[in-house]
Amino acid sequence: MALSPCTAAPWALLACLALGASQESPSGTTASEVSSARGDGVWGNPAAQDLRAAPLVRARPVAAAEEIHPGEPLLLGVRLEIAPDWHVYWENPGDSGMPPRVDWELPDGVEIEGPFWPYPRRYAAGPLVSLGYSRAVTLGFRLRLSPEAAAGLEGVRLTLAAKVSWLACHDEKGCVPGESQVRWSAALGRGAVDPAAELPPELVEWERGLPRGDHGWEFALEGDPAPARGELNLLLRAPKALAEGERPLDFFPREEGRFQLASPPRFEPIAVDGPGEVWRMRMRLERGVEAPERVSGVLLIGVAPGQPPTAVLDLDTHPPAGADGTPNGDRESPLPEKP
Amino acid sequence: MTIPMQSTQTRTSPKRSFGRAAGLAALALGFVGLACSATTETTASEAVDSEPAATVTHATVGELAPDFQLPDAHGTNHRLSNFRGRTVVLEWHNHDCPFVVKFYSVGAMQAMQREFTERGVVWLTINSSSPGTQGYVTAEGARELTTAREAAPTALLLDPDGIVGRMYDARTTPHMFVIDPAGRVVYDGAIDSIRSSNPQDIERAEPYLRNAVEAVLAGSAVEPSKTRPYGCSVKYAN
Repeated sequence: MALSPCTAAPWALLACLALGASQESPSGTTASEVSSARGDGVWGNPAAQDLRAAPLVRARPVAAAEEIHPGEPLLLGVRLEIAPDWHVYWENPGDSGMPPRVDWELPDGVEIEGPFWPYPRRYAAGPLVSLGYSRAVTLGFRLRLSPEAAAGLEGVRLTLAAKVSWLACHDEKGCVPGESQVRWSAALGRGAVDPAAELPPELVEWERGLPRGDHGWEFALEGDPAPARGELNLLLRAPKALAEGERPLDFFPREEGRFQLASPPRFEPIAVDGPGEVWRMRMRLERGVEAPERVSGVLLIGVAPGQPPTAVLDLDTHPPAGADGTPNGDRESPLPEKP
Repeated sequence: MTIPMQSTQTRTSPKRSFGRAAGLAALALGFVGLACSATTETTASEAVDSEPAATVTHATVGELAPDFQLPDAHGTNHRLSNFRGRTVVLEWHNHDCPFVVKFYSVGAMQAMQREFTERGVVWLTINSSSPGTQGYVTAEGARELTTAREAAPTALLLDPDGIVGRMYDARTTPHMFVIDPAGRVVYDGAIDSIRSSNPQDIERAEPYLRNAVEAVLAGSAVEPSKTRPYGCSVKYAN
């Protein structure tokens, strides 16, 4: 249906002219760094206009090494640097918003796993809570180049491209979608990967924020005693006693729409169990929503909410069985094995 | 008292609507045989023989919708329970939000508003942005927006205190509700199935809101009746 804002009230004329002057190609085809939304004039979103000169989010690749060794995994991150007071979202964005996406164009023989998300923080605005990141976040990927494909690349660099798209939001100014292209290339490496090679600081930071599966904690729904109506209780069993002052601080569920994020989980210690200890976590369910049969998410352990956590755990009441029988055995860590 | 808008055929395809003639015929048949009058959308609240819904303070699918009264951009008050007997759509709205712009910039929202109101549906666009926040509009701003975008809701209601938004737990813009002629919430959630701000995704998405309204008009069950709404957060006061 064709609409003509230019036939509107006189006040809209200026806006209408602005709209006409900045017609953009449909979202998804531009390579501009800033919003590709129809954000002009009478259609609203003055935030997009104001900030056209200064992108809200910049995306760039950051790799663990400058060479890729055939058959060996390589950590490759997409770093998003975010303008002050704006945020982007976690894989579960919370009550609103949309997670960023990285759509890779991969040549034959290149496999990529991810994104591996660092733990988010909460953004509360009124009764609503979002889960996401501000200032900067690196989304991790694990890249593998098959030896066969590497042979075909003899003497040539491996080049990858990705379309990165995001929604950036501000508490007062609203939301602006954006996208950009990133490109990364590396020479083919020879011989073994250097295990002592230092990660660049962006990946060190990413690694610190990454939920770990190899923690030995147990995580289960508590059926008895039954929880209060509208609540769900889970039991957390730590294999070793927590340090002085250490306690579970927060839990971010992966499943959207199941738990009331405006009510953070409550933790209570309930037992010492040999060398370990057991905690109960109480979660409020969204109104009208049934208790799930499985819960998966990210637990933060620490001393105080304002400080960096001492542990970030990937928990799942029903982890896919790993070959080695460990919880989350199938959710392979992107990190190399510790010696 | 109720005026059921019965379809003469079973809906098989969610995509296209009644022919206008069929819609108008149903409307005419509905008005014939009226026992009592329903209010029109532009009059101030009239006393109507409706069930009191004053004790309902949350919107739950399958239950009576919480009643409310809000002014529109012309200063006229509208009370939800006065629309008992008609299908009502609630559209939570923020003109600046890219997910709202997705539908308005290509005329998709306006087309639904026009099509459904012509078939007797009451379409209420609600703005719950708090003053000072992005998306807040005065009555005059709201009137200008409606004209400029050629929007065709029954009314654009102003809820700057966020009272109705919080009652309905409106999370995002857009966030859609459908209320059946008996006053029950029959749909709560997203406008369609693809969470994006790209208008090109509209055609290939499952049109949840459209399907819900069509189901109510046809007298059949709404499925799905609850989905995750997507969009920008509603800008309540902190």
